[in-house]
Amino acid sequence: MATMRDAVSMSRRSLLLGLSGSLLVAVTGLPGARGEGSGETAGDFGPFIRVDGDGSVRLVAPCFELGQGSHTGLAMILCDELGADWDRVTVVGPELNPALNVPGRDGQTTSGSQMIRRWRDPLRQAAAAAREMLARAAGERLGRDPDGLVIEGGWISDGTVRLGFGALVEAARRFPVPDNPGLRDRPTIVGTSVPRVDIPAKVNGMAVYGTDVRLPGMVHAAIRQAPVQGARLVSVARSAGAEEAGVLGIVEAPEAVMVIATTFWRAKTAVDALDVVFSETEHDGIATADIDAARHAALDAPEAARPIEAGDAPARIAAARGPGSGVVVTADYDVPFLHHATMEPMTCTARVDGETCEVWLPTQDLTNSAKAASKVSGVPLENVAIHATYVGGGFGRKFETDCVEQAVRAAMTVDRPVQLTWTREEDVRHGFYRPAMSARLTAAVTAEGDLDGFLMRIAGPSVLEHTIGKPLINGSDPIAMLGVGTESGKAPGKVQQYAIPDLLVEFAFQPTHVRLGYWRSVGASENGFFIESFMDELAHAVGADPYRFRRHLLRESPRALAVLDKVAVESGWDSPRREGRFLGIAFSECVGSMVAEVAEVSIEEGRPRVHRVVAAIDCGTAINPNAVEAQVLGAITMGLSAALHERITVGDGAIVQGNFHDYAVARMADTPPIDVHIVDSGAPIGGVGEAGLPAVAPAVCNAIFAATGRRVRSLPILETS
Amino acid sequence: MIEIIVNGEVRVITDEEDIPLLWVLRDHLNLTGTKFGCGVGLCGTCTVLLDGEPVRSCQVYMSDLGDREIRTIEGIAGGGDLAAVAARVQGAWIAEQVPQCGYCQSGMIVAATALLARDPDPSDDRIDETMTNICRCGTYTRVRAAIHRAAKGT
Ligand code: FES
Ligand code: FES
Repeated sequence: MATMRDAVSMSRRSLLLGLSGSLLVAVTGLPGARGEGSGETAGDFGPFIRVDGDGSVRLVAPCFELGQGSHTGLAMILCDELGADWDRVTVVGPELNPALNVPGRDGQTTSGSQMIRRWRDPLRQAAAAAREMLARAAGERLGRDPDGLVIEGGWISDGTVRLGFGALVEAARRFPVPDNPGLRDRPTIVGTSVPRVDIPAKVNGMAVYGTDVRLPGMVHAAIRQAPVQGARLVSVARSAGAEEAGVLGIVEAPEAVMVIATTFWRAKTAVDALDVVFSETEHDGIATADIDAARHAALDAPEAARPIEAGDAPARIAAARGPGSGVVVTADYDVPFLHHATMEPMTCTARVDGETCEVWLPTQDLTNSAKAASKVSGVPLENVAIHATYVGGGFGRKFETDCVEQAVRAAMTVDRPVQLTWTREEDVRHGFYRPAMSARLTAAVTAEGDLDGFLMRIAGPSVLEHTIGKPLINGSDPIAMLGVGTESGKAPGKVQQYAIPDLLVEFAFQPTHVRLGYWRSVGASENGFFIESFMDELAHAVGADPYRFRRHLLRESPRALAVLDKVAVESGWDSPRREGRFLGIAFSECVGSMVAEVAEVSIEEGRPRVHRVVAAIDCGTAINPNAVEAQVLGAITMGLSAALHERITVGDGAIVQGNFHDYAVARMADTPPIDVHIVDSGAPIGGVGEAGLPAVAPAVCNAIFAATGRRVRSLPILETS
Repeated sequence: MIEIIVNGEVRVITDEEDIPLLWVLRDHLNLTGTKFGCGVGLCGTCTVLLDGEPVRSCQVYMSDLGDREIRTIEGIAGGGDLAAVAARVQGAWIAEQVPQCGYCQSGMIVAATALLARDPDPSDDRIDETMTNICRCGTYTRVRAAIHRAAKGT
């Protein structure tokens, strides 16, 4: 491990400090910024860790903080391994540094519920190495064997004399970085619910999000983008008598026009007043019904890719259709396009001069944002700097770099920083949507409750094709398979954790012009609904209890059984139900964690009402149980919102919805009490941020079936007004 | 030129335009704790107090203000009649670890302060009815818990 950043990066840092020294006051409240290091005696121990002369410890977080709690979780891991004092650990957001690429990936991303999973071990290694170096320095000073010293709470002691980390930094840095430092196994705060480091600034208004960056001389930009994906800007004209006050310029981009003005309000009013013509496209006549019809046709197409296959499912099902055999069930399901609707709309602040490009940004993909800024500005990547802000919601949307490109383009036209903020209308109409997908499932069930053949055809577009232009792999998109196969169950003969010897999962590619992206839990968000609704149909087809039917099929997966049993007990599955209340159950392995959920529903005036959701999650080890609970609460709330209300539709090739009146998301009154139970199995650590989402839609729909005998096979459950 | 009172201080806005208060706070006064979420009064991220009443500042134009005093998240606990309630709310928000991304939370905290000032011990139904702010991260269950905690004064 390198102990210093490389020379290029060091010089860039000094350069930036020079440039932005006067800006520091303006941007306090950035992630974890709780004072600068005390200069001379501070020491970097690898790319993550800095110990200051005053003994405080700073984690340079490898990821952004979106509210998922990773800054806190990683700081906790660092603190325990280093033997630091938690009250003196601070966190700052990442800077562009390839040493902070996510292990196993070629960029600095914050996605996939991966941060704690991927970073725990490298961070522990780095912290252990720093601890050994500090211990050697203390040993030298005290004339003791470093191995015999006690390291705790930021102190190193031989039982008589104790030395603070700060006093040892300089000496410690002279030792070589140990290659294989010994890890300690003495968690003091890992596993406890310490308060999150980012929360105080989020209750007093001081946290700086992308929209809150304020820089000397900064001006604002507003944007109007082509309504139909693929359309190009043809002409822009100022309408007669339009308000000109404060307008500094009009910027034409290939797909949009921007106005730069002294305040956002002026920029927005001016952009609204422009007469803008965009080109026609071949998609201009397309509506949701056309997209749905094409996808449904793909369900019937003779050929499809076969990404997951074991045994001979078609033969088993054909046999089961014969006389005297099991029950064969088949059902089609649909889900709509969904939008992320982060509460912070898309935003980016950029400053470009001849030699450097600085970007202040909430993002989930730091590396590609820097590359995008470099490409648009023509500034070499090594002279691009990204300053992390808090992210006002990501859910996958802020993985994209569209807004960075636009802000940099705008900033190139004026010699001041420009902050581009999208209106909510731009945000809703120019998303990277969760694709509308369909599935047809067919299975044969035996009298014993085994599945003697399972067919699933998934029809729809490819997210990967839209996000990275990646062609399909053998005709299939692995993103569309998420939540069918699992991380822990890649062995053939399993769908999710269900043991099914004969199975075939097909992908029928049906492209769409609607722009697609990664939406919380990605493919699992639809596959969870498809598979778990169908499991319920199978249980009812053979007169089995849906909980016990799943139990039987999950018998080879102790972790799955544990969460399923937990949620059954906690929801009172086997207790007498309250009058008019009905339960539905669902299971999902997602991002390496096992989750089961039960929803309690009643029907009031013909409409379902969700009264309670009970969840159990096994994420292996919960670094911070309170933060795990928060993420499961959030994922269930978002999943419930989507299941009940959310749907993006297309008319004349464009997205129809534009704000929260027609893209309804759950509010307080839609959100029932949610109980989260954490099952600590000690299994390899799993992801958390997305894990709770896939099971909630099927749990609710299964409860609706229990209440009404009607099966919801198409989402959303309630039509939006 | 117009004078307004924000968080107990007189602030002078040199602009003649009649624009929504939200943008005066954010772009003229750099009080960025009040957030832009929808611009049309639907989400509540821009909630501030006008003489103790919660309003969506994206829908209040400067000409509507009159001499009403404005309190934003930055100054809600620092003075005015609701300071004590606001401080309790902020404490409860930390105790319940409410915020996730946090973007909606200024508006939530301002709205909750106004609710508790009017109704010191609101029922769940009353909370659901009054707190119409949107939180995409799904902190609603903890918002409810924090309001009850603040009501109990802990
Ligand atoms: S921004 Fe004012 S209500 Fe949404
Ligand atoms: S905490 Fe993120 S929107 Fe509410």
